[in-house]
Amino acid sequence: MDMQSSAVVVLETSPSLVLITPMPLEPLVRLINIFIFVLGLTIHSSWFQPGPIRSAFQMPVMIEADHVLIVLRQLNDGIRMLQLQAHNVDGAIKLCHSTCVSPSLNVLLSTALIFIIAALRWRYSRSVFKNRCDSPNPFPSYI
Amino acid sequence: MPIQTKVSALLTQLISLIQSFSVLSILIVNIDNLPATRYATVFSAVGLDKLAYSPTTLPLPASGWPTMGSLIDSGKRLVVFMDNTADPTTVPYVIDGEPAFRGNGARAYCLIEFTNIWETAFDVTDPAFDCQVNRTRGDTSTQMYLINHFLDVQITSGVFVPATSLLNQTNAATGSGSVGAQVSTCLTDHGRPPNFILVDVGAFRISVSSETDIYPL
Repeated sequence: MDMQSSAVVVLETSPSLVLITPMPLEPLVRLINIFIFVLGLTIHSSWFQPGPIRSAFQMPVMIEADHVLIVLRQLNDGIRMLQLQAHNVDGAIKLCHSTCVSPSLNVLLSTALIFIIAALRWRYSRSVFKNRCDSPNPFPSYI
Repeated sequence: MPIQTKVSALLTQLISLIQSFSVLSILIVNIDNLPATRYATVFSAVGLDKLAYSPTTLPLPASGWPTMGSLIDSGKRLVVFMDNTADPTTVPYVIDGEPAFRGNGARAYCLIEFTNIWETAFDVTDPAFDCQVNRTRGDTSTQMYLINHFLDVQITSGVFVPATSLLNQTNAATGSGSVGAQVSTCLTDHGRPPNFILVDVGAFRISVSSETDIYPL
């Protein structure tokens, strides 16, 4: 071990993760799950391969989180590897930080993977046919 | 259309293609040592196994990787690694040089990280990042490697938080404690640059926005 016990930063706190406590209703949880992942989650310890430099938008650093930019921005900025901290939460594989403080707020692995597929497909088609790399957030079009 | 214009348009398109993230990697940290089949189920359910690259031999040395172009051409634009913290005697799927799990048709697409990649130390608190091998389960002379370039502060025993006050220095391209400085150290030590650079706070780009010697992969 132990990438986990040490590589992990204590505070599990990308900004949007502290917003809400969802009702324990499965569809709602899933919806919120998607919302958190796409709009807020900054996957712990994204791996960075040098990439193109984009505009200087930056979310405010609220506390010592690992990342302050959402996944989509990180991808736009040239991130080419994402580290997924996978936990077993009541039988489901979820992504969260050092501990899954509030299980319902943590993202299902499947949600993350669906997003990754969508992002891959979107970027590929755009790069070939639209010839640009830095358009606005495409998230509404494929969720 | 003048030939210069055509060439220019082609180059523009080419650059755009290169700059897009045509190939993405994910590294799963299997903290709770879940059985590989659990992950395989999720991957198959969402269809990611079909997009994931599956090498014919493992482990794959740094020199053995296909080009980005061939990955794109083959439609395999995802590379999946799994961090191996499991005890191989109790978790039999974790075998050095073997895939962590296989997709349909026994196509292996999830690679054990440390037989394919070595890493420098993590939770470093000294801004003079070294480039020594910290963890590996393979031949570091041929493996790809990753540097953990995030600076921490230890606030109590075993508890580390990002040294955010030093981010401008840590995530800079050049200067003391910078990404560039550690890469230089790595070049000196190993004769080749790291394949992956792990950073905290992906605002790295802001610090290096004037750099022109960083290219997308």
